[in-house]
Amino acid sequence: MKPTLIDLISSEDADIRDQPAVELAQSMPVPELLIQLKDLEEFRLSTSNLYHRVRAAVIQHAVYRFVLQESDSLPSDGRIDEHAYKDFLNRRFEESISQWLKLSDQNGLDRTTASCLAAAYEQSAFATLADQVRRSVRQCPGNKWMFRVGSAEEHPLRLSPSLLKRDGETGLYPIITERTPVRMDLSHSGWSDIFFLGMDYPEGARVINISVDLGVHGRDSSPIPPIETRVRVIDEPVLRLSSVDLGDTKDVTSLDDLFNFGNDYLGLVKAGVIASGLVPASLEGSGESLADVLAAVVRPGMGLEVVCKVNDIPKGSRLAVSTNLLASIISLLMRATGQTKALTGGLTPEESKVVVARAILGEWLGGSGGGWQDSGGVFPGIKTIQGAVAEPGDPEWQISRGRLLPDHKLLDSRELGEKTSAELADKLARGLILIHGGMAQNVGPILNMVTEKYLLRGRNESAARQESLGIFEEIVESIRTADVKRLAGLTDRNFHGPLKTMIPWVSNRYTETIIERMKAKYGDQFWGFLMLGGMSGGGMGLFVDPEIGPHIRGEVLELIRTAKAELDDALPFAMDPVVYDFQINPRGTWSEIATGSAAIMPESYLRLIVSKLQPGSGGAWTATRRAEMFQFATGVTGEPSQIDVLKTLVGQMFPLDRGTVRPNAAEWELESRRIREAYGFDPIQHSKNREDLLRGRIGLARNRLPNSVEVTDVRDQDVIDTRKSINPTVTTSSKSTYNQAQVAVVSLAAGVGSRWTSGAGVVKAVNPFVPMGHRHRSFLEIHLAKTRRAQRLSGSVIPHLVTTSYLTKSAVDRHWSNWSREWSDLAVYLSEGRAIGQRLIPTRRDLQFLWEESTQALLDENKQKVRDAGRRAILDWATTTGEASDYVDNIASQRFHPPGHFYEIPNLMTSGTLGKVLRDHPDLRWLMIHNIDTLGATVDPDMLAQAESSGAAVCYEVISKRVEDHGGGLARVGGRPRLLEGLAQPREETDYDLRYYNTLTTWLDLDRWLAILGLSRSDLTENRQSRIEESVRDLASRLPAYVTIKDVKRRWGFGQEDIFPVAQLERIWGDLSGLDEVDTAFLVVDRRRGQQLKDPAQLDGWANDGSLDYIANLCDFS
Amino acid sequence: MNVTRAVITAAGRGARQYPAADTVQKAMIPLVDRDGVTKPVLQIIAEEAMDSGVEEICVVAAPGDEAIYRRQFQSYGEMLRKGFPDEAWAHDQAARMEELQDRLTFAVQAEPLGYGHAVWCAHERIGHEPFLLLLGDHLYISAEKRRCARQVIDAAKAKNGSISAVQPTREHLIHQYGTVAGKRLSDSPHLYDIQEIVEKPDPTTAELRLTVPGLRAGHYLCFFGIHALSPTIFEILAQMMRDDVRDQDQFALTTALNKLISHEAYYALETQGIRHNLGVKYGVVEAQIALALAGEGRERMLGMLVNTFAKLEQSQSAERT
Repeated sequence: MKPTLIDLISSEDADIRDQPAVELAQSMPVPELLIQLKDLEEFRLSTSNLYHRVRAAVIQHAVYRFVLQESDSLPSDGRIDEHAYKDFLNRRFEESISQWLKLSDQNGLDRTTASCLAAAYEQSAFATLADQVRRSVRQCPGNKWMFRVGSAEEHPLRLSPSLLKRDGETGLYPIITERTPVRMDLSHSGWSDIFFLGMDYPEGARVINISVDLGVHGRDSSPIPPIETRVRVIDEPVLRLSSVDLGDTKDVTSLDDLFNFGNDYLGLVKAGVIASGLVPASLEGSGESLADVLAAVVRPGMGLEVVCKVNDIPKGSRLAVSTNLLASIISLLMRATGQTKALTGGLTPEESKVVVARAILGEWLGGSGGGWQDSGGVFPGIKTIQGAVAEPGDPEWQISRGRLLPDHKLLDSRELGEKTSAELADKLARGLILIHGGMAQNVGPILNMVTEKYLLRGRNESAARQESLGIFEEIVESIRTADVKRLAGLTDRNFHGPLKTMIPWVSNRYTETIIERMKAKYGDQFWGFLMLGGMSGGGMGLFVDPEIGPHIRGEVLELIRTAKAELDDALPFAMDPVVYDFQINPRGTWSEIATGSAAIMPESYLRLIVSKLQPGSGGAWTATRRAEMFQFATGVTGEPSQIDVLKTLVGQMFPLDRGTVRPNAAEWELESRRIREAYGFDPIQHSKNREDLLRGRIGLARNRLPNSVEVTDVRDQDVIDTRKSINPTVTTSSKSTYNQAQVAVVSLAAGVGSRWTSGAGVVKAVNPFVPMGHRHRSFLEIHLAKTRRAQRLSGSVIPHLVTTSYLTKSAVDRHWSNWSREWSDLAVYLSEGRAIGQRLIPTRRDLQFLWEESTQALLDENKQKVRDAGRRAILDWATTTGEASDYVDNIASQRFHPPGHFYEIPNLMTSGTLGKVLRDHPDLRWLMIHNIDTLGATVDPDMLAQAESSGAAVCYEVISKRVEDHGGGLARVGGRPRLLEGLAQPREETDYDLRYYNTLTTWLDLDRWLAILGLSRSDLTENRQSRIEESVRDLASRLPAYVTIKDVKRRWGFGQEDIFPVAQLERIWGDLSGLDEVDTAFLVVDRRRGQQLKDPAQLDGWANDGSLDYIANLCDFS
Repeated sequence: MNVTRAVITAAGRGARQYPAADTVQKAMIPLVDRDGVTKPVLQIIAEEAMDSGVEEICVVAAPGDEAIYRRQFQSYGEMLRKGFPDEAWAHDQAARMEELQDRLTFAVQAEPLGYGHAVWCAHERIGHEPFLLLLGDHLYISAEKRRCARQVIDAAKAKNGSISAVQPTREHLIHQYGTVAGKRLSDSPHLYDIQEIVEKPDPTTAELRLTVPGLRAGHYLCFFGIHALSPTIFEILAQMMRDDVRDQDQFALTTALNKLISHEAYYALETQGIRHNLGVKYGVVEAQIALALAGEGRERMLGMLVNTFAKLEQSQSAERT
């Protein structure tokens, strides 16, 4: 008998429990499935077992998302219920689920509602998991007391007396320095260190974790523990927190500031201070003064200084630098407050475990995340870390099978034998080349995908997981025999086999290129690839023969740099690649105390505080601070780092202007000027826009249509539903059009796709994001492959036009020149953008409108706190930098923006490209225009037939809405069906009434379009520039210009990125449908044809719901 | 285990009561006891022991202190007799001081080498006998009929083993005390089988190692300052001194007590009463108020306190207006 969905969760039989949930659901008729879902929901709500509850929610998510949302037996069109959706945004997932379920009971389930339920169940599962991790971490022995301290008076910690012994001669207090290695995961055991996996299946959660010292090859003389944290008593009642690498130092004077994780770069240091117990978490919001807390722990009137430094190890190294930094701060402050046996030296295993538990707490407080092996640097050398089964007395007992905190077992020389241990360390140091490829990506979505797949027991993924566990055994064996070649083979097999099967997105074209070239260059002496962390592209390992390892590091760096240069604009790189020198750290975190004249902070820190010094303010420093500078000065021997401090001091005393200080500023300015001139920047219009923005004549609130305008959903007769059977006579006539090569494709590639890479400036069109046709393919390549297929089917040439802008032109040109041979059978035309806007600092009014007036998804409690604090900082930034002033603090390309996709077709005309196409293909009658991320758009003869028979000049394709499609769609506005942008809707509620979402794919009847513009074909073919420009200007003036806020990334330091909102003005293509003189029609098309890929988090769902196969079938890469 | 001897450690100088303690021995600070009579602290403590059945008391003092103590007892007694020639209570008190003097012996702690060392200094006076150990700067007010010391002595007799008095203490105070991990005995709800003792633990260590099932969250069993110990402790202390086992330069009693766990029966008794540490700020004042409230001066003390509050409030509200 077939098992039920509940059986998959509660059956005693592991074979039943491990059956793939989606396959089971797909094998059932929909009515039966709906009954089973009801039972499953009752089960989910009634079970007290956390694991059962989460697995039920994930199965419900998967069934709604991959079975019901895609099921042809359910109605496709529906509305997104406003109240349920608002609950969903506010993280009231259970309420939203019950409302949507109630609605489907009343009206029957449609696919729109199925998508909503899928999203709500998914979020509910992850929220339940996060809550459990939070609860467990609070209940870990050693952490609980920190949630009970109610006031400074009740503070149970006292500073170690030896830190209060001030040196009589120098006047300096001692400094404790904690040096902590980072951790490297040598096994990559299929992300099994994700908390939930360990808590659900502790036996399968295993990693080999090595504490390593690092040095940047070519920069540092030898590897050292990269993390150094220091603490010292100061004679001011403040917490002076500093991060040398981030160049930030601050006197924290209040608990409010300490618990604010987003108003500076010191969030992680603050989280460390709190998680160490120095300021217990329960004091947040207690109204206590920080000075009183410090008085209780240190002495009245005194405070502490915490300085941390990660030796400029770039972000995204996949070596858990930030978690180990957190662990280092925690360990340091635990020592200082007497929570460890010894002030100096190593930690006991018991203490190390407390540090691990508190690092998890710190990550939760600071809103970041990590796996349970991340603070492995605290322990010495090589160890296995393994999930542990929960036992009576554990906080997880009877809640989950495994404990939150794993067990650590050292594989030291006692365990491996002196000889093997030394041999392994030597072979690894020589044969493993650790690199940072330069990409810094958010691995969060990958971790969620892993958890979901694990819970759903997909057939392929489960097999891959088992294979990965088998490989792990062999990896341990190879370590025990110091067989690095075998180890390399295993990690390589793990990456190319199980890991890629579980999550195809772990690899990318960059990684594959590096591996290919390593193989080509070093042949048998390249032993294998090691993926570190959540995904590849950042920190990675390349195993080579230890004989050649030490000699080829420079060459390897060059090889990686070349690969990076080729893909620089196609993938989100945060920095140039580096190669590390490394060695195993046999001690783990280690501390020393410096007293007397040795108790001065490192030069890099002195330089930092000196750089913040106002001229003449040194006199106001306390005696100990002055004493330290005096000690430093007397010890100067002429070391470059010492001279740096002195130079900075002179620089502060005699400051130069800002432009000279920032080395790249002049270069950026020149490039900006070039862009402005090349792309016809209009300074007069720009200052008018600025003025309007400042005075509030334009702005986010003004984007909206007046409240009095009536907006409703369209009627059925307003649209042509192409999903229904197509009239055969229409089809025949248009197929003839198609065969006569009267259609051209236009791919809009002027935008960078800021959501796709969070504003990293990567050109989305050339971003190779999916393996297809033997390698990773970009959006543009997929569009070309569809045109090729359509061309082969029709037997005639279909010209393919690609629009670009100042932002994307060089990237598209460059990649096109590499690919052009592959696509030589196509008639491809690249067109240059002809318009440009300067980005502006947003006004407070607009920022507040965006954050407060419009509905936004609430985040997890602590992440939301961090976001709120960040937003306050952004508001201050906008005010101090100057509202509506030009955004200039970034590289030139990030200062400008294309002025909206309305201009892309006019650009085709003004640039002369369309004229050329018409000269080459005089029979051309139709343009099929599509967005770069609408992967399903293809020259479909049936669709063209529908467009043609509609008789409209402009024919837009729309799709049935799903939960992710919010903000705009097809509406009746004042009686006229038109596309309405989300930002133009008079009321947010309007959105919930609309059934159809805009795909932006447009069939444009060329002659009718020219007629609207008052132009003729000859104007284009003969390139009558001024006539064309005039008519475009005239049309543009009739369209509204919207103020939009976009995120841009600003990069600095070593792989650090800040995200800033900027204001820009855009005109939108869809607004043509609002003009009386433009005759428009709307085609409702299948979702797969019209859906857009906006966010990498969509990828996995897209690949698994059949969309990827659908697209692949439209393509021809042969 | 029959306990008839006691050791009171009083060699500390009481730096926190400076300058008073510079001229007066900390143990000689006068307080009005529950019976309304003004007594030196040492007498109050000694009476705690004597009322609990102890016959002989050994005071461990700093070098030269014996003579001072004896002189002070002497002159105090004489002054009482001279100052209140017709008052029976004065003669009564003088007689008690004389009796106390007779029962007192002194042992000298030549160097301040820690609490363990101070206890060890009494070993010759005590001999191979079990003894009650009290602190020279702590006062105890029992919550039941029996004195606190008596509760401990009774338990030692009943269990035929060493007993340390403990009290559940909130975690922010545990850094001041020796703290015990133990398991409650099923037959005697106030007794715990001691598993480990940590001197002045931090809350993290306490949570990891010293949690006692059945206590309220955030509470630990901390030493109350009274122990009934078997003479084995002297042997352990002697061994520690031979091996020079120190903790931050001191011979700690806690280290010896930890060893005692593996030697013989050793329990913690959750004592019914309140302890007052005279060594902390306002400790003397607090102890005085507590003594008065627990004795015949109760009404008067309450009246005084209320009066003081009222006056203070009046003058402050006058200031505000």
